Amino acid sequence: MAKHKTKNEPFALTKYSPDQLKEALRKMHLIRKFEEGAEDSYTRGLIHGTMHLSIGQECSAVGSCMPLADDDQITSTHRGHGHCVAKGAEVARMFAEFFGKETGYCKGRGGSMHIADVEKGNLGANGIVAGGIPIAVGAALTSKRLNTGKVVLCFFGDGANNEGAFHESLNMASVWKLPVVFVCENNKYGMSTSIERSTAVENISDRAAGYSMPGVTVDGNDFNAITEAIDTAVERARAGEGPSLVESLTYRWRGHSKSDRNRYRTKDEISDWMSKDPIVRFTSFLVEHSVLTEDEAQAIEADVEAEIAAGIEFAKTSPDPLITDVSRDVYTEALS
Amino acid sequence: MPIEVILPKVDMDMSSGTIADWHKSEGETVEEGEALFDIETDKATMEVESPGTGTLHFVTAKQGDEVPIGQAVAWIFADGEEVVAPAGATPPQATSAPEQKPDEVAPAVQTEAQPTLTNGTNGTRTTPLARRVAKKLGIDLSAVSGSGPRGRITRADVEAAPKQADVASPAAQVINVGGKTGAEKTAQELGLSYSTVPVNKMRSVIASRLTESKSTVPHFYLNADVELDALMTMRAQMNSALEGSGAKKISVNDLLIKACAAALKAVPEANASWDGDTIVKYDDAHISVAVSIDGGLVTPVVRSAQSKDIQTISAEIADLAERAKSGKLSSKEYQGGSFSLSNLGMFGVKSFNAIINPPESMILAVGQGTKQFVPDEQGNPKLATVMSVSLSCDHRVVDGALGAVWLKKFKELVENPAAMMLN
Amino acid sequence: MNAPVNTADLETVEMSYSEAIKDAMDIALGSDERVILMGEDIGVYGGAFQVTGDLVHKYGEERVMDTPISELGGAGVAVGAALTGLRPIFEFQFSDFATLAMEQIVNQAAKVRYMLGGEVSVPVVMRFPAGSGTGAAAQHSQSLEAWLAHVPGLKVIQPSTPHDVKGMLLQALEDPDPVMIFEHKLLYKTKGMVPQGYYTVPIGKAEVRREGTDVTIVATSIMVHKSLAAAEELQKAGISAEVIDLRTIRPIDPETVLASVEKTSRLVCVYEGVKTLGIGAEISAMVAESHAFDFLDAPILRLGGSDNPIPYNPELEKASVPQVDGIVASVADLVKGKI
Repeated sequence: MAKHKTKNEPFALTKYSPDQLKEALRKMHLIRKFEEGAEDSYTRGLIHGTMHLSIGQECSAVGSCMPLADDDQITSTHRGHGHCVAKGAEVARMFAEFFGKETGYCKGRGGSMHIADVEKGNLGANGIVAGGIPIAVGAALTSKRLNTGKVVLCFFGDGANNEGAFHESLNMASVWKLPVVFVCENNKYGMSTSIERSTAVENISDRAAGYSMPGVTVDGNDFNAITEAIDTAVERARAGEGPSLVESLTYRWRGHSKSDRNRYRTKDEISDWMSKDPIVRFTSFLVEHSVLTEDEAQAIEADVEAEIAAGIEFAKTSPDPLITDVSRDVYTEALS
Repeated sequence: MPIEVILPKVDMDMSSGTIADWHKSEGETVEEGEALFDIETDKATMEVESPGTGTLHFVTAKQGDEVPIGQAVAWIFADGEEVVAPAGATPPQATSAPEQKPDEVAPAVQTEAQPTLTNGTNGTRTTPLARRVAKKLGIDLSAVSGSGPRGRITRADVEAAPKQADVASPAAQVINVGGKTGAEKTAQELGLSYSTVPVNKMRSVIASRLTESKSTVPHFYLNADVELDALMTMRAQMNSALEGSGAKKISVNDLLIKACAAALKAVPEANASWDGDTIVKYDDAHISVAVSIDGGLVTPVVRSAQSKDIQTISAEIADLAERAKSGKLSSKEYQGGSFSLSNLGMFGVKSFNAIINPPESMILAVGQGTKQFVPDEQGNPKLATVMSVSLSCDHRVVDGALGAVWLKKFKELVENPAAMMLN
Repeated sequence: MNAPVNTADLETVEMSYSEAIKDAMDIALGSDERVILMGEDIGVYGGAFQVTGDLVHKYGEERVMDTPISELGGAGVAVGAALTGLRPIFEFQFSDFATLAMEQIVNQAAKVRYMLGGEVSVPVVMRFPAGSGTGAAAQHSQSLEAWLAHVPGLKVIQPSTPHDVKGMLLQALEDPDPVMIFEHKLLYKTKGMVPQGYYTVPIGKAEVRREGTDVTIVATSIMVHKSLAAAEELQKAGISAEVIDLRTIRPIDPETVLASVEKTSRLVCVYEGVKTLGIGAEISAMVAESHAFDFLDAPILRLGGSDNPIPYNPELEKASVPQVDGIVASVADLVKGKI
């Protein structure tokens, strides 16, 4: 239950219950350990293709999803494992998807870049940069047209903000006053090209003005900051006042993909950010404010470890799709 | 533009010719009108003259090649003209006269009439539908000729084929010209010693025409003995009159030709040809005279012999025979006969039955005149020179009685030769 | 899902191809609140080809939405809307502008269902005014249906008559998967009898427009009409041509085509899209791979657009796509065994 807000009390504490906050921590651990587990499986050759890990961005993902109701929707990016977990996905089925198994969320057809959990409102990660932005706007259009009251959260990265689809989408969302929140997770690099070298504005949130919507830049690794900013935007959308742009500053510890040699950033930069681990930061915050104890925090972590291990086991033992089913589900009804 | 040298059509019904000999070769200069190459046709070897002056290049057909008429075989480039290969200056598919590759030809005419053999047999193109229909109708595709582009056999071609097969009697299949009799195969199997000679154009034409004649024309034969003494006396008189003039002597054969012509004039119904739904009755007697030549037989025609005097006939025969032997007859000279005369008397043959030369409807086979004893009016033996003749008739045009009438007239003329002088 | 209707029970009225499209959209907007129209200038302007006409006055701007000039974003919005419960019909002003939206059409609309293991469907309809003959030149005259038909996950249709365009658009709205409709601009004003009210024409079924015995002509869109005109001419020369209106490019109806080729033993494909690597190539190969191959008595012929952008000059423009004379001459040559 919400407590009375006292002056200067951190937003998250006023808005969310201790159970909700513990759940948020659990999810952050889940994301971290999921990514590490996936990475480990990949290096063991159990995962095909490549992966775009979001280690270091857990707070941004979880914090952004906090203000959402269960039936609110998100669209995600190629770096979407964290969003998927944050929106309530089961890691076992995510692992199964990464292992290409029939029990995966996409029955092994989508893989990492297309992971989705439609029941929980995750309309899917997207392999095309800015591919999900117009789709999110479309989902918001449906919400408005059918009066469902849903808000759509559209995740994208700093790289996407230079795609034509980004500009077209923000413009239309604003013109039509659609209930969509644009969340740009700015981790400083679009693959290897820094923001400074690619983007004509200093802050991505500066672009909001060009589309007549509110824009704000926050520290995405600060749970309070990100949840407050998103919450404001979600409420605005739900009230029918239209879209917002929230720039969530964060950082990814790992390279863009498994092929990245990190030639475009320094080791110092990486280790600097790693020393500011957002999970450690959030844990400290919760402990400091007596939401939980160190022991409880460790217990959560251990719990998550077990869940991850079980998830990987589930994925390993799940069946592969049948070759004869290769053309199944291209169309909704089989073509005569 | 270089001048194209094509293989010309030099004969009726000619669709292709074989290059017998090149007189000029690649790079040589040629003059317009100069002999360029020889074509071997059904009956003779024809010389082809150069259509222009210049240098000969891109000779695409070589000796022995069979080339479709109208196809270019070489180009003549004028002085100073750039020598570049014109379109079509690629050697045609070196199809030598089919007979020279008997193995290739053989499967084509197997007498078992197999339905569709392996793919478009011998590289012919056949549409899938044509193959299907051929299989259904049991038609041997290799016996079907294609009317489509590049010789493609279509359904229509296959459907047209049975009509020809129906006409040919079962026996015809066995007589199929060009077909293997298995002689060589047997010789090989038995280890007999032998040599082979390829069947050339003339032999193949003789084979096909006479096989066709023998198998499709209803022959019957009338025989008679003719006393030659009166004829020989007249001949002697003629030749003594010519003595010292340098003119050619008249032969018995010349007189027999004259007699045949006169007999045809007297019995015009026998001077006719079968032509399917018509009978062609000639106004004049065109006598084809069988002339033996190297490796074969040619029958040059003495045109309108009934109106020619014996000397003209004699001179013509001599000239025709000579040119026949050297292969210099034009097609007009051995086509369009209405009657044939074949004389094997000089070889000591007593008598024989000749095969009609289609589309003629009669041929007279003449044997050697020999001294025999014959009864005179009193029944006493007298010595006479008797020649046996056999008249082969095409029963479609000449019935027994008609043939007999003609033969009787012929005998009368020979035995009373003065009548030949009348018109 | 609406129950199938027997059109024989319906009154028919003459209307143009574009009126028939409007009629279909009117019926859909009036009966299903999920249906929305999206496109540039489709509101009060009435649409570049006056297809939407006054629909905005009847249904309002929220159902008949003018989009900014944002083909990529707009198509993506349509995809997102379809993904989440609406039935959008997105109008491209010219089919050539599909190029701007290829990302959302090919990477998203066509693939989302498959990538998500069948968990979702994308029931979006996109309409493309296409084809040459208006002097609009290279960038406004293309026939790109083959591009989209190449993509599994999409359905592509080319109705050629007012009757069919209305029925197939209504069928497309029943279809849970993305349907791309290519409408030839020169067909908009053509007239035909159209049943009143709701009915559907199946997607994936070709129609024999004229029966014949000597050759099968498979044609699409405006080429159906040219082929029928050619067939009339050919008949005078004693050649009996069967003309099939393919109607759906993906999926092609193999049965109708193969049965016809088996009957006539000859096939000519006539289409406006560039001949090279176009739909005629697909039809030809489909026939050649099938049992109908054994019934072919002549090579398969394709008559399609020439390998150049559509020129401005009107004679060149006409020369760039098959015309009746050319169809007559080529078909005659084929039947006479000259090819």
